[in-house]
Amino acid sequence: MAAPPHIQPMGDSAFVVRFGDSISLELHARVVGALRVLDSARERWVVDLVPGYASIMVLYDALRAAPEDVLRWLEATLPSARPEPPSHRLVEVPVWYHPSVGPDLEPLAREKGLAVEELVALHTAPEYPVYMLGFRPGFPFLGGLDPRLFSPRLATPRAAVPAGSVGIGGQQTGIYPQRSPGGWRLLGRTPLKLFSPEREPPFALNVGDRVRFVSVSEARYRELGGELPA
Amino acid sequence: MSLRVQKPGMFTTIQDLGRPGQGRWGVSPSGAMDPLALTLANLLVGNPAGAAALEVTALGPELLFEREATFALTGAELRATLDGAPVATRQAHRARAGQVLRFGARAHGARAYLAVAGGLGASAQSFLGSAATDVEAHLGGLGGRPLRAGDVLALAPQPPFQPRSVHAGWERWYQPPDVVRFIPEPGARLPAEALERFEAARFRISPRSNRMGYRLEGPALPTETGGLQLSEPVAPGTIQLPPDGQPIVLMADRQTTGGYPRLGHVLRADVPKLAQRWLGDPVGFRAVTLEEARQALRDLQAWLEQAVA
Repeated sequence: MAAPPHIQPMGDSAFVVRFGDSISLELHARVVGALRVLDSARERWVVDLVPGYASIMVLYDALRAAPEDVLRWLEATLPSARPEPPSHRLVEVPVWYHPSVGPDLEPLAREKGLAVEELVALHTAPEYPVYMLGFRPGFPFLGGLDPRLFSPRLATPRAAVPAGSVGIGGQQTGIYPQRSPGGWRLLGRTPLKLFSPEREPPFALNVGDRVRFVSVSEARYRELGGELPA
Repeated sequence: MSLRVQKPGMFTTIQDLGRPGQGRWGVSPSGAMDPLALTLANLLVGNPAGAAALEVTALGPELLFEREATFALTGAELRATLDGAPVATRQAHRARAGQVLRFGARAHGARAYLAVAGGLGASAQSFLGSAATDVEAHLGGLGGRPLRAGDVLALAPQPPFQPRSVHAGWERWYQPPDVVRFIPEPGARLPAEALERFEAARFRISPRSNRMGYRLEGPALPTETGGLQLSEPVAPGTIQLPPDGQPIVLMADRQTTGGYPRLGHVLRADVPKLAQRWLGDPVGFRAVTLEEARQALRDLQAWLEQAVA
């Protein structure tokens, strides 16, 4: 039996439910399971339920519920949660791994003493669970990166990372859904649109999905609608 | 028949009360930086509290009313004029077709809100039920960007004019302007003296602040070496302490997750006051209990329910 989660207030309109503070499949399964029961027992004053790697933030309407109400609801609901393994949904993400769209690909391979092909092989091998979406609309934080690829963020973030860029930040890998500033090390780019506000649903990935990167050629990348650098 | 943007001002965006509840997708709430001022502006013109209005930052736009319309201004005092005649804030006005609203030098505050009867959301792109502009994520408003000269905002049919104004007493939600209350983060992963020194310090709002966050300039606070932690969801008003020891208060367009240690969280009742602090303004922080925070929010809500008549 896992220890019950630690619950504490975050200011006057949120609580955080913490299952631990590391990236692990076991904690992820507990987050996904708890999210499901909280969603299904949702009270009207719940404003948002936001999963993290090993936590869930519960935002509430402080004019309609007192902190004691929120705490009572969490303590009554969470015990029925069961850990849930990642969903059956596996999303293949085609990536063109190339220096013209992945400026850190060659420097990172050199740093790690790997050939570029070896680095790509290590990055495409795992099935990565989507632990959380954050930072930007639809940005997936993927866990399960091969420790040989762990690498610190850039000391100075880039002012503009193009949409579709696939990168590594610390022990995580992820995909930039939109052009934005960013400090992760960039390996390549996917033509897949992770976030389109006009599409229903707007987000291609959900927490609990699994992602596998598939290395594709420039020709295939272009066929799939990938844009080339200007 | 519309509201025509002749000059855009420094940074004028369409805002409402935002799109809260989408954090699990990484979508920021956005919406008005000062939700109290936005709400008052809407109530003055007979709109629902969260109708879309313009958030005018520091240096205001020049706007042509192409039809007769009821409007109101709240928030920062930016010395607005209608065809040259001063426009009092916190009361409803009627503009005639062809009149031009201009803004002058900033007297105090940071953001003014311009509401027009019927709201200004008709020309905006709605995403997840909100017209709020999020320039970082390129969402809402006019293509997710600030207003430009030549933009045209559709006006709804205007109801008959009703002279409404805000009761006295609004000032207290902005007083004292340079002290913001917060609830400390229990078990913050920071050196013990970080919180004491945060409360004792005086900061200035850094010029690098924006709608995502207010960066505070002051004495560097002690932080852990390698203080970066696992990314975790962040709450409204979360005060982060990055490794350089200069706190950041997360504001309307904040990212939904953050990995820095946290000092605490600004009271929801004090967010309007902080949002009206401008670049370079002094600010200090005072810790309070969760109970005091709740009472402040209830007082604010009770006042708001009878604030406009």
